[in-house]
Amino acid sequence: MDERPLFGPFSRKGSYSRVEVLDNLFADDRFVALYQETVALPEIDELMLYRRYLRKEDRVLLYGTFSPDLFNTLCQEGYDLYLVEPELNRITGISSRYMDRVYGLSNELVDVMGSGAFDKIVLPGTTIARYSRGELLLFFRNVRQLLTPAGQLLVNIHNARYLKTHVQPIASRRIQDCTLFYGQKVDRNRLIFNLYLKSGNDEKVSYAIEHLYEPDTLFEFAKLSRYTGRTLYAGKTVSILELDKIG
Amino acid sequence: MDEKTTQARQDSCLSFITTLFPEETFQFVEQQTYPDAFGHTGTHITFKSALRELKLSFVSQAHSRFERVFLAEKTSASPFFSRMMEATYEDGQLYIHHVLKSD
Repeated sequence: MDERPLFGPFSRKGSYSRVEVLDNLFADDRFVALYQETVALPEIDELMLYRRYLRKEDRVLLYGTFSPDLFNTLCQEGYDLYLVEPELNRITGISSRYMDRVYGLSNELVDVMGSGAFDKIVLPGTTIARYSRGELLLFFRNVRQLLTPAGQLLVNIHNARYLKTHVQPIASRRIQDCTLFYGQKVDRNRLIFNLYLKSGNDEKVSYAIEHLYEPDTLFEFAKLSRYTGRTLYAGKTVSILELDKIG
Repeated sequence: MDEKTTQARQDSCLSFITTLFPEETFQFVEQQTYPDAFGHTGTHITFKSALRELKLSFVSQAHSRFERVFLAEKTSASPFFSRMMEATYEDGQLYIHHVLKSD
């Protein structure tokens, strides 16, 4: 039985032998571009968000979907930012002046800076939603080693209730001279994102899964790994949470 | 990864660093594969000469066409590694992508 979370027309496309099913959407640059567009949070102005919640004297680590332009702008403004991004095609656009702040793995950062080097870890977009409940416990425990004793996490999460009533069943977008179709579906506590493209003989479908969390659930999980948290902003589509490392 | 591929990768690393530091003799120290704090797995290969320790960290890519490789060095002057460059590993060959430290 196929366990791939494809639905509706994406599932039909995926069943054809001529259509390649990518289990990791980052394998195609056009899917990457579309995904980066769709995970942007239209409700908040990210530049204003970071200007408000980051301090220039703090050393900040970013992990997750982050606009290269935003990274360049904030570095230029004097913020002490570092980025961990394993996929090379997701850092296109970062200025060569700031490439020394881009790492492929957090292990490299520890080799270079030692443990406990960051005042803040920012998980842009809804990065934290990539982790299932089991993975989230491990994540909270593992990132402690990167934070200073008084370090903090800045986290955005989807408003699950809003998403359940406002998912985009199917839409299209033109990227790099190619029309891509995408859709979202909420399945219990998961947001499933499907994508499809056809360009000449090249025909692909892919998917991504995000786990939906209520702020209280996230606080409970974080508490188990010795963090205490608060909501900084509760909007219609997203909430911004801050978690302090304790102990 | 089979033994032959692992050996080919180590040989390629040795050839690469010997080109960068032709006057030094490097010895293989270890190869370790483990996840980072965010759950991404990297393979780290370490070599040592009389003057420095070099670590090459391999990160696979979703498209599988190549791996990203980060080269860092540690000398007796510092307890930490210093990053030197990023490369790609493609078809058994390392290619420099960009240099982070030129001295």
